[in-house]
Amino acid sequence: MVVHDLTWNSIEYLLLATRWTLILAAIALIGGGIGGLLLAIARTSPWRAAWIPAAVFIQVIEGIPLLMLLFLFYFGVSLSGLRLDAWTSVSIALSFYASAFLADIWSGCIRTVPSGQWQAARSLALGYIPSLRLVILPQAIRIAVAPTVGFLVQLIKATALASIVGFVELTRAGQILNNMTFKPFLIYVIVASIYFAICAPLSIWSRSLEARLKTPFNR
Amino acid sequence: MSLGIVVGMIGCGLQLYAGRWLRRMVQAWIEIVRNTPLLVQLFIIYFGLPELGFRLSANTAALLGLSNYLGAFATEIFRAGIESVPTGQLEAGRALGLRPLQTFRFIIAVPALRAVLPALGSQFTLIMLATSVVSTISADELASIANGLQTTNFRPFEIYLAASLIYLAMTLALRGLLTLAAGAYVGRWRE
Repeated sequence: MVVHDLTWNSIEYLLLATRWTLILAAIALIGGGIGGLLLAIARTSPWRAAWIPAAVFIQVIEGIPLLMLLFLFYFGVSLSGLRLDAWTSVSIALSFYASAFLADIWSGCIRTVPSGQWQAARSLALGYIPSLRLVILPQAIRIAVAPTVGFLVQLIKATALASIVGFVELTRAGQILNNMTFKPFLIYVIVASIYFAICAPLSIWSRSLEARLKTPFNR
Repeated sequence: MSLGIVVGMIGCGLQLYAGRWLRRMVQAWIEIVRNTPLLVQLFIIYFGLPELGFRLSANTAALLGLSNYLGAFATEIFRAGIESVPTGQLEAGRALGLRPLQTFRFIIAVPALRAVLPALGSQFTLIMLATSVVSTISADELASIANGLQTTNFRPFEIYLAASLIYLAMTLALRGLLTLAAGAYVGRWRE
């Protein structure tokens, strides 16, 4: 067996694989964002039939490791006869994961909007949906930005798990390279630094957003 | 997990009271750990370190990786807690003639711990779920046992469903316990 050297090509290979990490995170963010928004609204709604299922869904997804979710979707969906490739099942699993966590974050943000705002909207004869859309959500979004960016970091790190079901993203690419070159330390350090290069700016951004949000309340 | 807390405490102590250089190093360590996936960290520890001459068993590597990971997060949480205690309280402690260590024990640690309990609790849950990741370097835990089982009976969905339910049960139990503990602790100090 030929042992390859680590060259610039391998770095390029890793960077190309990073693209899939980013795309996967974006898909999960969009899918999770839509699901999370609906769930968050359901979770904070006054109707039992809406908030109980939403709360249960959030609890269950948050209570199961992402790895298990990935396996369940990867193996489970094919059991029902539908054939999904790694790509689809990973996107679905990550979207579910993101939607539960985002719903949790966002429903917390919706709740921090003072109840007086709800009452004010009601007294202006706004229905439930219009008051949510025009009064509550605009205020909640302001609070939600910082923790959402923070969660995005977690989501990007979570895509590393997709490597386990064989999806070729950054971590998997690192494994493949390692199998060719047998330089695990160097390769995984490079992989880690690529993740770091993506996540660190986001973390810093999220922290500065948080700080900016805090100032008016401290006065 | 408890090892992670100890690491977190040491890290936090360094972060707050050590000299500038050490503090910067701790800060860098936290940033690195927090901004890279646990999976990659485990790979570095398990596959990478032998290259440098440290050979670890899968279980040791997993333990090291997890405590390092939790430690970094716990450091941040503890620091936030301690910083949440108003400086006036610290000065009050000093005015009462308490020595620094006493001030810390009686004045700072209690409200700080109370402030961080929820965050710490959810971090514990996350770490418990993160333990499933160490199965990838073939350390022994629930997920890797599930892996082993499914390779012998070829019923991956049922096995992973069962494993997921066990995780779910553990999470709910841990969360309930933490809520109880937090309630008891906070309640006791409120009187």
